[in-house]
Amino acid sequence: MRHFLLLALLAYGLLLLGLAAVSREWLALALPLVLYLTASLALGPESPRLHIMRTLSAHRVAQDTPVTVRVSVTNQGAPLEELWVEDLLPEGLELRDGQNHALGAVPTGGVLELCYTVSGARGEYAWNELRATASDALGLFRRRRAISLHDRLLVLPGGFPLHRLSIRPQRTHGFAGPAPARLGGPGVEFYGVREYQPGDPLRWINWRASARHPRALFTSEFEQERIADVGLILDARKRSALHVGDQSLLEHAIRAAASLSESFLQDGNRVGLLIYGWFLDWTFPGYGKEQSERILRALARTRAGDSIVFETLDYLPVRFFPPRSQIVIVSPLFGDDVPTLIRLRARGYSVLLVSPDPIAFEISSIPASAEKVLAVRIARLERVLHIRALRRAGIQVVDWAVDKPLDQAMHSALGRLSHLHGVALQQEPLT
Amino acid sequence: MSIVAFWGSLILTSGALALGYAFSQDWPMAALALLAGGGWALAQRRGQAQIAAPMLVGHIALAALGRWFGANGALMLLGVTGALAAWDLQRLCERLAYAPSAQAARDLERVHLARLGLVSALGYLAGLAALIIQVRLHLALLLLLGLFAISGLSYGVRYIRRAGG
Repeated sequence: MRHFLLLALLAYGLLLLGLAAVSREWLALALPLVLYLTASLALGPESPRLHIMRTLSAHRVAQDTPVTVRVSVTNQGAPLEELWVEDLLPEGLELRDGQNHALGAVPTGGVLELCYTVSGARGEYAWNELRATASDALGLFRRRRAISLHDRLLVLPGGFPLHRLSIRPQRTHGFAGPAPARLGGPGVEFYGVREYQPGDPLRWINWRASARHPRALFTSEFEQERIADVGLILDARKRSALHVGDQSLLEHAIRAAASLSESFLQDGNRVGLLIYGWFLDWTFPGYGKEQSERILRALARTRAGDSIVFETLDYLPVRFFPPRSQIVIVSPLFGDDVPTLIRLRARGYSVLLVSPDPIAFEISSIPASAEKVLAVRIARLERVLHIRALRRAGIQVVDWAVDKPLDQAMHSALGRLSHLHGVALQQEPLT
Repeated sequence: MSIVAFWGSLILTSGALALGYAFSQDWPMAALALLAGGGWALAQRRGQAQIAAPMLVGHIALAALGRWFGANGALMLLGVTGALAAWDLQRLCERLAYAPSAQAARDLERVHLARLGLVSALGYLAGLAALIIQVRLHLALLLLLGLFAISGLSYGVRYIRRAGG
């Protein structure tokens, strides 16, 4: 359009000048321009009729995994002397190889192909539109079309390797699983002794107890292990998403949540996910690989939310989770969250808090000074007090410095606590 | 191929304009024509594609001035045709960078050069014919042609805007 106007103005300028001066020389100078414009207009393209196919090498990948996108544009209309095609990239995706646009002459039935490779950070990406511009061979007169063509790519959060986690919720389901059910029966761990009943296997007879009572036999009982309901809560509030350079604490929390859900689901538990941030993003509890996929999809979509309503954990909808089930919260922990978590515990839930340490995360970005030392000490003191209050209330807390492996933090915290049946009583130094 | 054609067109336009002025002993304007051509060439070497439009306007202005100063009409016409071709080819070179393969670029280039060659030759011949053939026009017809030119321009712009979306 710009080029057409330029030439048209030049041609008309010369024509008008020629007419005004009654000089055929200037009129003659305008003729090459007029002919150029006329040829472009006369041989201009029709609106392109195109059949477009886009294929992605994968629709679901891990972070930074390259995905190859192929776009095939078939011309179903009149021959196109020049066709410019641009596949609009979703925001946030990085073009790693190839080009997402191409130019070519496409005869009727001919195909113009694009091939490019993209990669991106965790998230859900949507292709919506492809732009096609047909022009004449001189490239002056153009017809544009925006073609809707939808595709989605899910970049899943990467998890941390985790060993099996032991949880002890108050209530379990009827099916065999990994969670101790606080009920005697078949199992591995010793639970108690009861009087022998006909039908009990002989190898379960507790001979030591029976020897003390000559007229009775006693049988050892083992603790049944069953599957449990696990409610995973991810704190995605804006204030939890601290940033240091290109690193985000929320990303660590998301990866931790992905690893935990994977671990619990692999053990056969029923797992649900609540993302608490911009709104309540609730993934209904379920089992197995499909549930794992649903949770990973929800985590891939997660963004830090700046909502006044959900600024504190006061509106945590605990009724989403079955009574006395296991709740696992992934949150950096703020002072005003402590009462809410204690209330959860008071309602009978077994609560495990996995807390990525915001102080350790931020400390490297602050320049060294006397004030920094003091501020860090105060912040640490405050955090230790919050954690201690939670542990006193019977909440298991995993204080996780994100530069250390999550598995190490989980097992050092839960290993010690498991001896105390989930109730944390150990004291930590304040400094 | 198109880059060779571009350099050829540029030499042709600068040479024709300079020669036209030189024939009428107007040495400063001849030097100016050569300078303008040199400037365009330098801009192309530096990859400053945005200079093409001002250069086209400048060369056409030089040709129009040449006729005003009585320079040779055929050479001035050659200058306009060459400038138009150089401007077109510079745009083509930019577009060819987006061709997905060398073969696709060659196909585009072939069609384009054929079309441009034909249009330029016809334009030059038509211009030459207009310089040679003399037709006497009545003032009323001249005014009518002027009106037609103005209304044609506005209609053309409206049409292009509508069609181009």
